[in-house]
Amino acid sequence: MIWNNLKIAFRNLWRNKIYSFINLFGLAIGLAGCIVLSLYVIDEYSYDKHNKNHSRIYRMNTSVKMNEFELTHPTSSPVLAATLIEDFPEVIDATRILQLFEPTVIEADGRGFTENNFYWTDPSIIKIFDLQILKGNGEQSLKNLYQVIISEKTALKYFGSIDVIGKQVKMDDSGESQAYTISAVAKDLPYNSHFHFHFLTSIKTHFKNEVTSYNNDGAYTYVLLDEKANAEAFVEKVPGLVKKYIEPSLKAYKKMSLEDLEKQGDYYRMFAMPLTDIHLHSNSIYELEKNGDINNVYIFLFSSILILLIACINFTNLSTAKSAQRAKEIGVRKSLGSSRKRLIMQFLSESILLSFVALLVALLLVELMIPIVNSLLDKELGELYYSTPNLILLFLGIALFTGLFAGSYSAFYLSKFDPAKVLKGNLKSGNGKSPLRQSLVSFQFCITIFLFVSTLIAHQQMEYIKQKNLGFDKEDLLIVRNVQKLRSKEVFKTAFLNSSYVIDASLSNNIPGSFYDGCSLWKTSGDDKKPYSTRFTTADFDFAKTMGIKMAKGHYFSKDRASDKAGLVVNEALVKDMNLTNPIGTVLKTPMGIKTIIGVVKDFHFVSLHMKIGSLIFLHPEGLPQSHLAIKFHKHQKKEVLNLLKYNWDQQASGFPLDYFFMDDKFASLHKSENNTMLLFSIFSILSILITCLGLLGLSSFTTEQRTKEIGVRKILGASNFSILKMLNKDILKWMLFAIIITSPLAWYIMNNWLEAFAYRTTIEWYIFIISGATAMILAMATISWQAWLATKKDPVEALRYE
Amino acid sequence: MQFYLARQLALEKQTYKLKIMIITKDLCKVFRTEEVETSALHDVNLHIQRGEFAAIMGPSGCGKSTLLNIIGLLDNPSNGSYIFNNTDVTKKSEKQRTHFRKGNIGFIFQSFNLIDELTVFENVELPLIYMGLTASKRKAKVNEVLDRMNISHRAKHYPQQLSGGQQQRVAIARAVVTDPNLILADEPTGNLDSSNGTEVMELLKELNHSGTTVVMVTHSVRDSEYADRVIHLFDGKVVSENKHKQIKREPIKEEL
Ligand SMILES: Nc1ncnc2c1ncn2[C@@H]1O[C@H](COP(=O)(O)OP(=O)(O)OP(=O)(O)O)[C@@H](O)[C@H]1O
Ligand SMILES: [Mg+2]
Repeated sequence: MIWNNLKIAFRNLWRNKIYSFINLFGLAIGLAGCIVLSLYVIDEYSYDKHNKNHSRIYRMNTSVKMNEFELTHPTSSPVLAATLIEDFPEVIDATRILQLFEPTVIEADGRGFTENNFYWTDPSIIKIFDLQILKGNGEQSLKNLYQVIISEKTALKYFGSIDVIGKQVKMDDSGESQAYTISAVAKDLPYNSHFHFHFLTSIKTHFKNEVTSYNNDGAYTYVLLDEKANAEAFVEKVPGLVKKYIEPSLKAYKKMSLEDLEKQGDYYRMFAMPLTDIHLHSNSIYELEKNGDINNVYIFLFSSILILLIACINFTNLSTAKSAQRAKEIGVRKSLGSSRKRLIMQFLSESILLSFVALLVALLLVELMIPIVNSLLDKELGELYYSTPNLILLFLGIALFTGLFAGSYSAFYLSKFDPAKVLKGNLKSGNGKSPLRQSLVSFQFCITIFLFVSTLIAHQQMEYIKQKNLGFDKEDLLIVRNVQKLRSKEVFKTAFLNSSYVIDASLSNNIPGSFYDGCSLWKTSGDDKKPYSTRFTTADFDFAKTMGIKMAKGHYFSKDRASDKAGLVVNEALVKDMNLTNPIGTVLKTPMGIKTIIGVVKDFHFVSLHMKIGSLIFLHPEGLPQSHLAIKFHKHQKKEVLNLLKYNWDQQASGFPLDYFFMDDKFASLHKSENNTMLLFSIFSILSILITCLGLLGLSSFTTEQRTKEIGVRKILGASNFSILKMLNKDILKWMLFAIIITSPLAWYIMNNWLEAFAYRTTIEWYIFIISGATAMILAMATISWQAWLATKKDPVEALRYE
Repeated sequence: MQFYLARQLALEKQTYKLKIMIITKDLCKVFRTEEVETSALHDVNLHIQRGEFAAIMGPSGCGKSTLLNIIGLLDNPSNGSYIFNNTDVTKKSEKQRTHFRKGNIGFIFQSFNLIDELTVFENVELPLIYMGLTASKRKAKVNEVLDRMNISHRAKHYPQQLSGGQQQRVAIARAVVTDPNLILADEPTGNLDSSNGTEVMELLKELNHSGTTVVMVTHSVRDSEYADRVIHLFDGKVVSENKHKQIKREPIKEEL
């Protein structure tokens, strides 16, 4: 019986190849898109879960608001780890990580590598993060100073082997080259870990004397709780630490109690964040690595459901349209004595068969899509895909449900037919204008228009951020790192200044996008005694020129003015923050002594575009360290400048590796993950439009087929082709208009909320809605008109020949 | 004398020409599909006069509908020529044919071919819309013709709500609402019982009496008796033309 049903079902599907194809591919694309998006979502949620202790690990975060300056950082005082172990019995272990602020160069086997993931830590990291030691003694490997654990991949990269115990690497430490001895090799943490070390060395190497002050807050502190511990109670107790440990130093340095702080609207808070929340819920600029974003996860989850919905609606719509077309067949069958049950079984087997074939095709599509998504998002979704059989089971369920739903709707719909009426031809279903089907189609268009609008707005926002005036000129700007390593950085700089390819060059300690140290400032006159926090940097006399930074007031440091030495150049944000009415000539107290403001630069983005521009001061360059050379060159002379750079570096560097980048590339890479997320999102909205149009194509081919006779009659009565096209498009236009009106305000509201998260945001333009609506409308009309055009091409006589 | 005769002949020819609405010369129609070539019409020569009521008879598949479609400018012949109202329309494009058809030719089908989604009124109104008449003119015309067909009380109904005979009356109303010169009917009584059939035939007779040319395909000898002339087709050829009676009805409709 079942076999027989399947046989007939297969024959039916084969006979209606185009219908089966459209239906199958629509559902397959939808299922595939949904599977890939689900993989992405599951993957984002998988971060740090590989660690067998993951549910017991917490990171200590600090949240501070001082003078309008609000920041949550994932770090805390290095003292905290010991304190936590002492104060909380449930904390059985703790570890700290200190990170390099800037990439440094590590030499091994006579070769140098630029290295970023060099961490100072405690030996307990091995236990807490469940590190797999491949060579050497894990427990003992960080006991002594200048011992280092190397990751497996790093060992292979540096030495080409993991038999490296006892070998040495040299790292630059405060201007001196320091040798570290490799004491162990550990397996790399998997990609879905919120950090990845290459080198681990003892924190004692960094702090020759253990820190005792809570003033320093640069350590990533993780605690491991006891298995029996009440985690919630622990989390609740953490904020109380501030009163006990932070307030004394607050009182000592800032002459303020916590209450005073709160009174002026500021705060200092501490909280414990579960390890598994870090990847999706922590987005400080000081993360060990860039994390994911829970909003992206929601967006992708939401769009995966929408795509699946669109595909399922298509499937249902097409199946019911198809079955309505078979009304006559049903009528005949019924009059011949076929039972209702048999008919229902027949429809069900047909639609379930189709949905399962669609699932198979979808699985093939997923195979094709995974490498693309992996390369876009730097993921390894394939592994997850094959290791998550439950996911396939879920989609098997979804396919089955879709098949069942579509099939049973048709079956229910058709078994209601009165055979007498059907045979008399008095069935109104013939015109394909089922209101259910039409409202489902317009619902699909609602989704499509929504995806369209949100893609456009998100895209516009990304462009806005990219185009936004950075306050400095990032084009044709080459940055060379580690110039302090050269025999003479001044000679090096002059070599470029003498070249005809180069416009300007400047030595500085920081460049936009790099890490800036912070300090406090005080006013020297007036009643305002409170400290203001700021970032500071040093740069030579050519910095403003080279970077294209504009002066708002006063002047930048000049070699020829001796008085500049006691001067200070600040940015507009600082003037605003400190409320300086007449900035030039204002005297400020800085940790570097009393300084007078000689110039105000216009604000430029020195950290990231995601953050509002904060205060910044420039110190007079004399005698201060400089590690970067910025070279502004003439357009289209990239290659020449690079050759020049290589030549001059070799002259000066005595073998130290060259490390450079172009500023515009750096900014592009800053936005790479956003861009790729955006791209993926665009791909899926295009997919959804594709599926919708595919469905519409199928549906309109039915409609026009159903109306062939009517079209023939109208043509015989003198209708022009145009009037036929108009007639066939009229209904869908009505529904589309409805969809646009419903969706636009909703999309506006949701996207407005999304934009709130950006420090600098574009405005939502009205024409986006017009563009989206018009595009959807044009696509729909093109789809329908194509079918209608084919219909008008038909000979009217032909249309009437067969009844 | 000879001159007189020649002039007389020429005059006769001219008046004959004026009196003739449809002339087909060696009309052929071949249908080509991938596998077969069907010759549906073969050298059909016909003259149909203005005001004539002609019936076409013959066995199924002999080409009656094909001939009617060509006469009705729904289709082009494969060979031969067709002169309609003194114009050679043999090789006209679809657009031109539509233009000729509009308002000149009305069609009546065996299966009525009413549009299910439109009411009786709207169905009848359709050809007027395509002719570009204003709404008020359309309304007047439709109401008048529905009255004439005795179906005005059903104007708001949908075709499915009518009996076959009523549906065919609506179809006739739709065919005549534009005051065509020619009505083509393909088995108009084929789907009707005898009393409804008679009613339809009476209507056609009436139309013919008021000057409309009627060409009708039928299988029924009874129906064919309404016609002035019966054209017998067999295998795509005209085999005989029996005149039932002399055509003497006047007045002939004005030239278009
Ligand atoms: N579009 C077409 N394509 C192919 N063959 C056709 C086509 N139209 C008609 N024919 C063939 O031409 C021949 C004449 O068909 P036509 O419909 O004119 O017959 P008919 O005399 O009207 O028959 P009936 O009395 O059954 O209506 C038939 O053999 C038919 O199969
Ligand atoms: Mg026929």
